[in-house]
Amino acid sequence: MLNFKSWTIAAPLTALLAFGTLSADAADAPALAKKGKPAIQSVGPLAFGPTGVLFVGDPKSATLFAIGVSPESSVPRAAEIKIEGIDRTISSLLGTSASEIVINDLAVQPTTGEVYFSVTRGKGPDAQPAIVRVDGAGKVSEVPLDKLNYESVSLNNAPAADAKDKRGGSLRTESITDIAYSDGRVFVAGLSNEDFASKLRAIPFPFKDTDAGTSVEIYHGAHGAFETRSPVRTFVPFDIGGKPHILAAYTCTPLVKFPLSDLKPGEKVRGVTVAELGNGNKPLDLIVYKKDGKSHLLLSNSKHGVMKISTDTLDKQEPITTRIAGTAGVAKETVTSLKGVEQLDRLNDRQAVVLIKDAAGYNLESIPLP
Amino acid sequence: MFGRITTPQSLVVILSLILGEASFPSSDCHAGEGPRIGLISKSAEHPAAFEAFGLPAAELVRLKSLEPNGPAFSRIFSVYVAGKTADASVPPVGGHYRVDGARLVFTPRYPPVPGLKYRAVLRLPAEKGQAGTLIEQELALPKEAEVETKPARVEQIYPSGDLLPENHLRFYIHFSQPIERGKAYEHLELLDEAGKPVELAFLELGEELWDPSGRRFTLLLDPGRIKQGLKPREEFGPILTKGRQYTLVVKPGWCDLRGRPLVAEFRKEFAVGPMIDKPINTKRWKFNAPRVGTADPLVIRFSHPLDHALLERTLTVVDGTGKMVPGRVVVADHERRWEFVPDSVWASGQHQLVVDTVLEDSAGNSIVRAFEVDQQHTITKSVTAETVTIPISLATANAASSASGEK
Repeated sequence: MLNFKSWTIAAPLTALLAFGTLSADAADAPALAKKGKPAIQSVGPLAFGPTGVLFVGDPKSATLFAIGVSPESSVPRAAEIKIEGIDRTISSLLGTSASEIVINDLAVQPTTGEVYFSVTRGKGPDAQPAIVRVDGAGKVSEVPLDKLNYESVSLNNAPAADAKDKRGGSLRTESITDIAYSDGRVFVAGLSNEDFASKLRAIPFPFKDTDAGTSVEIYHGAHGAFETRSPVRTFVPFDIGGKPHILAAYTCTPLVKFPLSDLKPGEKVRGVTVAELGNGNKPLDLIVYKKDGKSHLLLSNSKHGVMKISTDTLDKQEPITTRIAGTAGVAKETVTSLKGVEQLDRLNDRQAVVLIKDAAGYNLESIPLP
Repeated sequence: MFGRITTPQSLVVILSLILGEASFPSSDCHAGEGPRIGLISKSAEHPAAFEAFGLPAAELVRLKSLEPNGPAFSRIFSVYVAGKTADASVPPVGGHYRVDGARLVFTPRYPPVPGLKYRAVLRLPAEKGQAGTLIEQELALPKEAEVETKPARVEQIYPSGDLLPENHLRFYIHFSQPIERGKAYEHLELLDEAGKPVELAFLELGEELWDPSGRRFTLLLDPGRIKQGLKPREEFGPILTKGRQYTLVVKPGWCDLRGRPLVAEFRKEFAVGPMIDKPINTKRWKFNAPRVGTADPLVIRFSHPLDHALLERTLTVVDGTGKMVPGRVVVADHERRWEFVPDSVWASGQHQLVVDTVLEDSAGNSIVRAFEVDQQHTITKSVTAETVTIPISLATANAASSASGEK
């Protein structure tokens, strides 16, 4: 559902852009080892990594792809994006009707503000994957998936033991619920359709063959239970008190922090609940941004709209260890002007881009960061 | 300045296509009739494509000189998904162009959807005192011949038994045909004894859990409301309570890929028994002893139902050399019995059952640990495949007459 936008990486680059040097330095990007047509079977969550590298979760083949998407440096960065009926626009480009596509996720290339969508064309087992880009001029085009620089790593950890494969075709698939990139690692939250292996994996990038990363169990301090049994809905890597953490939102809606330094094979990762954000609610998408010298979180929800959450006191926040009827923890406010937001990402230092669902379909809009 | 041309010939083309004729009049037969547009069905030689032909020779020469697939092509010839009204903001269908003899061919990146109308637009610029030409035409591939199939129905829901543990986690819904994905959770409901829907019962995932065939949907009850101590359970209580009756309802509004609703609503009624909070204990499995020299099934009985899908793939029989024995698996007795019928007769030698430790019961308990694990347990963090092996006793050929294979 969500894509991490590493503001610590993006901020200097966007500062460069402000001075008109719109050069995404390809030399910064690690070379992607393979060239050609990656065997992408489906497209789910997206996240940008190093400049020009888009991570694409492929749930159908349980594979994480890194694909090279060169920034379109000739196109000016958009000051404002407003595309009403973006679902119709995308479906027309893909030669089908709006009811026959599903928009799975969006992510913004931090250096250029180009918006990338993962889209499924068709609704049956033969549905086809597509990556669609909206450039700075608002032009919508498709990213051809047949001539790419790419790398991939399989998330399916037990092919050798998969007897069904040997008997003819595995029925196992993996839902990838979220991916994020931070500091040389891709974090992937996933869930299988057969075994209940709710996992958060940390996969080093560039990928190494056969290295599907470390599977993490998050021990939840407050509840005395392994919170991975309640799958992570959406998360962002974020520095708290100078140390890298992951902030994860769960159903109903605890916000939990856990330090990445603990994330090593054989070691437990202890999560601490820093906020309870409201009852009967599913968190949908989460980003982090800076405004007036302070960092904030922006979280879209199924029931409670879009919330702006302060990060000032995250390091000092007293863990919530008792049952909370309403809300508690770090300060938050609801952004009442935003309704129907399903996806969001940081566009630049001042704006976010949101995918809004209304009665007619989907709209893509830029909004000032609240 | 464009002039509009509508020729009777082009209408003939449309009609022939709608009637399902894939053939297309060759440009030679229609030489001198002016520019026209057609939609060619897929064949063994080429994918479905839109073609403009009858173009002026000078225009063809110019097109051939252009950068292949460059933007100049789409200015001359583009294809749109036809809407109720012309919408200028909608981009043309993506694809690639080529000049093939006297034709300008546009092949969409994705094959045209049969039955969906496309609007093809050909714009030829003004030249040497002649007005430009604009041709617009709506085209559609014939709908695929519909094989008479019945609308989809629910064939089975696993677990197939009618007594489920309080901490039950997972259902598999099997359909007779592939079902439309994207709105699964709108068509599912868990009702309590009073017929009232249980709120927030399901783990609703953005990426729905379908098998590759699109016929099996995995429905997870929200693990946050199953596992003790987690927020959703504290807030709403457990989903299932021991001693009570529930009904899982698959509503008929769920459509197959042709947009037809299910034949009928499907209701799975079940009672709820005590929680199962222990790992699967393979020591409690009961094996028969198939006879060497026969193709008798190997039969294993479990103390409680295990996961249907995982039983299909996580148990493997290997022979004395470690080679997998080919055969067929039958899961029976409400997922309490696993039968393996070898393709050929049992050879002598120490056979083994290899069990992938991902095997679970319907409550998510695996061989390695219980779902309701606490912090005292050691957990495995690296992503590796693990198996346990269990020796299989085969009855010797001599004992064949007296052995009674369990069945």
